[in-house]
Amino acid sequence: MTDKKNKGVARTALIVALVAIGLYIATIVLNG
Amino acid sequence: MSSTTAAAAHDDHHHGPEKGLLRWVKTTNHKDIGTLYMWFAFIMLLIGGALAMGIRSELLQPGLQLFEPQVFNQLTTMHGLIMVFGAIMPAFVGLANWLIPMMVGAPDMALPRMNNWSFWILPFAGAILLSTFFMEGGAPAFGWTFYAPLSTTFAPDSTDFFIFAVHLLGFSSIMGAINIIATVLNMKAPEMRLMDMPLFVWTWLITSFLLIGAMPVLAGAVTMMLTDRNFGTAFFDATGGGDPVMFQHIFWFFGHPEVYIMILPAFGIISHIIPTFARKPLFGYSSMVYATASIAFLSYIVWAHHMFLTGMPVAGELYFMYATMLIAVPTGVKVFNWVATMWKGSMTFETPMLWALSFVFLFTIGGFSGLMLGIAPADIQYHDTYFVVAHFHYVLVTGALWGIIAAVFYWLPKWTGKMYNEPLAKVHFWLALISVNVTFFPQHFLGLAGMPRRIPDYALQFADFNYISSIGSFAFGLSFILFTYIVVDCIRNGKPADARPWGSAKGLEWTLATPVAYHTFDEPPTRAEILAESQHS
Repeated sequence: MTDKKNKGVARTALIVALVAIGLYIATIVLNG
Repeated sequence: MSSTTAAAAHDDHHHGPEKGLLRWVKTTNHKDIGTLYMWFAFIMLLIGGALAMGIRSELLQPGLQLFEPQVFNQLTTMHGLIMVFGAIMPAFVGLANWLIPMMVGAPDMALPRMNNWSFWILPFAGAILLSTFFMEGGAPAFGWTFYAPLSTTFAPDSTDFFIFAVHLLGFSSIMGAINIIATVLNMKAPEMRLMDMPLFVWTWLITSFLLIGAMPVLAGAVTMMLTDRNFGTAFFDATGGGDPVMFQHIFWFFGHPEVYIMILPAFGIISHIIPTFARKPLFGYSSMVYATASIAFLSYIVWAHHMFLTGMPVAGELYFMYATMLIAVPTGVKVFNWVATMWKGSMTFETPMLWALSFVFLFTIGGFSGLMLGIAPADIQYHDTYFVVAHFHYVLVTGALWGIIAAVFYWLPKWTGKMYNEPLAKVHFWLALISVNVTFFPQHFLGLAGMPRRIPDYALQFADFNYISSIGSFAFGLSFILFTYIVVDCIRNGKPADARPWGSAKGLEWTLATPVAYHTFDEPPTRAEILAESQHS
């Protein structure tokens, strides 16, 4: 159960972090 | 369960906090980190408040009294930056840290080590920002909106330190948002459904998505500023093919959601306090959730109402004006629900309720003046006047800060295990309520009469209202000395509080013993416990 939860946390955190990094890059690239 | 996690769980059961100062440096406990955030925010509030006292001292009378205009501009810029990024946002993250795990029946935040890192970035970022006051050329003086080319071509060298500080603050906020999203979605009690979650958790979940959408855009803006200033790019330089107005579009694409980042958690807090002291379930729980999500969505598509005077096509003005008006609908739903919750309730007026009630009145004033500013033709007169200053202080002081203070009084007995001095807290409330209105209400009249913002001197016809506003601000500043005394007195000398000091309060946090233990919810709450403490039961 705990391992399953840890995987869920990692997956959620990774997806959200990738969205944030993507937005950061997009802001600069689209304005370039 | 793996042996590693079993060992960790074993440690959690039997070990309390580390002794000494290192406890606060190394802590991964959500309650400790929440406390750190709250004290950091309070210190920054006092520093930002001291700068505000400087601003109002200069404006007490017409003519230059205390500061050179350049220094005055540094004060207004740093006041705004410190209050937004150093005080209001960290205070809400502190509340989230303290409350969200307890409200969703989780033992801690999902990513405790990252939580520690999120906090410990802040003091360094704050110190870097404040250190610019002591640099050659002084602190940034281009306003908290740091429009290019003021912040690129014509800014002091210290601006690079400001950029670094904003990068750090943004990084901290993004990590905080990731943690909250992961905690709410993955760590809430297995028996808790999304529509069982308390409103504070809902508003913070939605705020976290706003942070994830907005903060990287701010980071992108300051990165482009950095390269324009130091590496020969021309993102915002018209002579190199760039566009300074694009800076404003990017800034406000971050800046408008930022406003809701600072107010949505306050909506959640008020949605807890009013039902408790009206002794009725919250009216329209699900409509509150949908209204919060609607406000968040709309906040992304209205940014150019801050830029009506940059010269945009009429079709653009009309679109941004009408989209802005739309925000009044879900906000009106919220105000209606709070009033309907109180309707025929057995109301009492303890200190948290006084702050919550005045929030509803005063935030609504700020909301209405926002609607006035959102009307494109009217904004031609209001833009960059003291009317704008009055508007956003009603939203951010009597909105966001009011929500934070209401939360402090509401949950302080749970955090400390002690009760604050209720009569003294009421004296503080009335002092703050009267003085804040004496400070900011006359600024509406100054703005309508044409007094520009961000000026250290003004024409004689503005003298009386400025004098009144400054006197009010000094009293408001003094009220925080009393607030500090009340909180410290509660921690040191307060009488023991009950586990549920407000008899009719609902929520899993009130099921915990008072003072709340260092580790809580080793076992998740059952479905029956969740339903019994639900806001719509």
